[in-house]
Amino acid sequence: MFLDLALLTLAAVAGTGFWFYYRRTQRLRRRLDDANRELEQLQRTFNRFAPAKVVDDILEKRTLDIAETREVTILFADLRGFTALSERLDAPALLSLLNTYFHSMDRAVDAHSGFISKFIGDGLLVLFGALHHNPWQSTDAVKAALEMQRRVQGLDEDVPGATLSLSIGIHRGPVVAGIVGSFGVKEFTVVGRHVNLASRVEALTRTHGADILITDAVKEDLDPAIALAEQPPAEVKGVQEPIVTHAVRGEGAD
Amino acid sequence: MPDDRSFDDPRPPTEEEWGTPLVEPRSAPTLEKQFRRRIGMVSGAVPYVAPHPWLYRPFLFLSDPALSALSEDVAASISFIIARDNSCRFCYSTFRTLLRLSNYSASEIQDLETHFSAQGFDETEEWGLRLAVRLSRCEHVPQALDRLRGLGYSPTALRETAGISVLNVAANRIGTTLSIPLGRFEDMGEKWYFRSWRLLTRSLLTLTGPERNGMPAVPDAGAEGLLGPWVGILEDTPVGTLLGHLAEQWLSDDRALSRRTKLLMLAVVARGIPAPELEGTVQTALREHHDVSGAAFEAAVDHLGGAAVDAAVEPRLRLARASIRYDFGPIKRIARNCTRDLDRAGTLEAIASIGLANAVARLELLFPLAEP
Repeated sequence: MFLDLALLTLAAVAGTGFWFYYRRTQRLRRRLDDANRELEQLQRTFNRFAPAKVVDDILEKRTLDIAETREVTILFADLRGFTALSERLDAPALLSLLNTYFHSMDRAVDAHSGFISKFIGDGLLVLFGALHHNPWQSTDAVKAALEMQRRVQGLDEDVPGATLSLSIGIHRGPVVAGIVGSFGVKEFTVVGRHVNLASRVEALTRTHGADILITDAVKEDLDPAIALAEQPPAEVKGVQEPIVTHAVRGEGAD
Repeated sequence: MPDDRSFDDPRPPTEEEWGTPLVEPRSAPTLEKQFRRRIGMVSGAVPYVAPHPWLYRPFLFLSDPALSALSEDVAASISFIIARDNSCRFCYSTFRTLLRLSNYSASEIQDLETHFSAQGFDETEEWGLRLAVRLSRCEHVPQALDRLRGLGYSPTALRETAGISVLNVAANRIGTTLSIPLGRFEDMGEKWYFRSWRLLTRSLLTLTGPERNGMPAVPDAGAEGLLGPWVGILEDTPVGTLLGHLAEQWLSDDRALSRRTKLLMLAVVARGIPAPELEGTVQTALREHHDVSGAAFEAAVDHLGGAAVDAAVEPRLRLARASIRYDFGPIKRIARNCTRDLDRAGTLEAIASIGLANAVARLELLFPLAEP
């Protein structure tokens, strides 16, 4: 009788111990899962405001004074046909279209090692090689431009009556990359005359009737398999000599 | 895992799924026994990386590294923060578990993640962790080397820090691209009896023979091969010896991928780091032993195309290129796309190639150490 009672007590103690231990293991496992998720969430949240590398630099150096001169390829894109479309779509539909457009551009840029520096209305400033050494930045930029165009064409098909297209100018040169802005509002971006020139090249697409234009500086390092058509020299604001650009024809980029 | 997303997919590219493993798991009793014997437990990576030594040995070594100058805590911390930096969920969980088994509390681990510091670490050790992360990212390495030398970090500790760092660079690429699933191993850190068991087994293991961490005790041949100057920078540290062996074995094994393909992959990685001396050495080897002309080499490295790159090689070069900067989403997607035409052995060899190429090429950033 006494032995039975002792065994029963022992079993009850062991069972309770096991139950507490099981609970504790489950709790700690959940904590590990939560830590994993929190880590990923934190990285994603920060990455929406600045590239991950810039966030890491800020955290490591504990300062926002981050600036360096880098060889960067700059892509300016402008969405044609959006203004006309905005007049006939209601606000929610317009916002939805714009968000879908930006998301798909983000995918195209990300797939080719670039990052979107800023949205300018319905346009974009995209950088290649700004965050780290990238010897393939010219080809990356042109391939991204072609994919952006393909995606906008897809978008066009989704909206009845829309005639959307993308005009893109690409230029390459040394720029100052860093965090600029006022005390309250700061952003990571690039500044310098080459940035302005890339913007002018985008404007030249209307002059030459081309969708994607690149400068000689981009052509120099471009994969020769990508077909180009040289355009006549054209004057642009802020540059003394007329500049020669090349229209990207799309063949050979796949 | 889908190759791409639809326009309606609201998730940003960084919110990728970990995905299903790239290769099917295989039973590997001999290797499991080796892990059990060496570290007292079996890593979840074993069924996915067997039987290639240059795939499993980084995991085996890093789980219980042989060290000559670094403390075990610093070595484990390096592995942990690099896994975190690279968002390799498998390695992150594994090394978090190992830190827990070493009695690190959750808050100490959080300190490591956010400040590169832990209880008892001095400024030198914290800068050691910074060097490790900078090597992994390939940036600002000379400044970290100068700082550590100024702080009186011993040359051996410096080399060992670098060696552990680049070995993790390889392990993270293997873990992420193969999408090795998180398994029971990750629970162990939270179980008190495993901590005690590990202490006991580790004490016993130190009494075992010369075959430590799965490395046979043979003379170091690593410093004499093609990659000798790069692995040689780690001198005779255990991790340097291991890397020397792995690099030589990897390059000399022609079964799943040709040496020529591996050299081209190495050249692409060297261009992206950049590691110009390695690129030059590989170019010479390709010209002398594989008839790759200067122009063909340039086209291969500049544009991942040209006369030296056929349809079978091109996906391997794209994979090599994607592996350099390690963006979590793209590298997984590209690894899947670029190994579609390969069988299991070929896929593992391609993954091993990007891991080791990235590890070895980063060692060129340490060449200032050889200067007087």
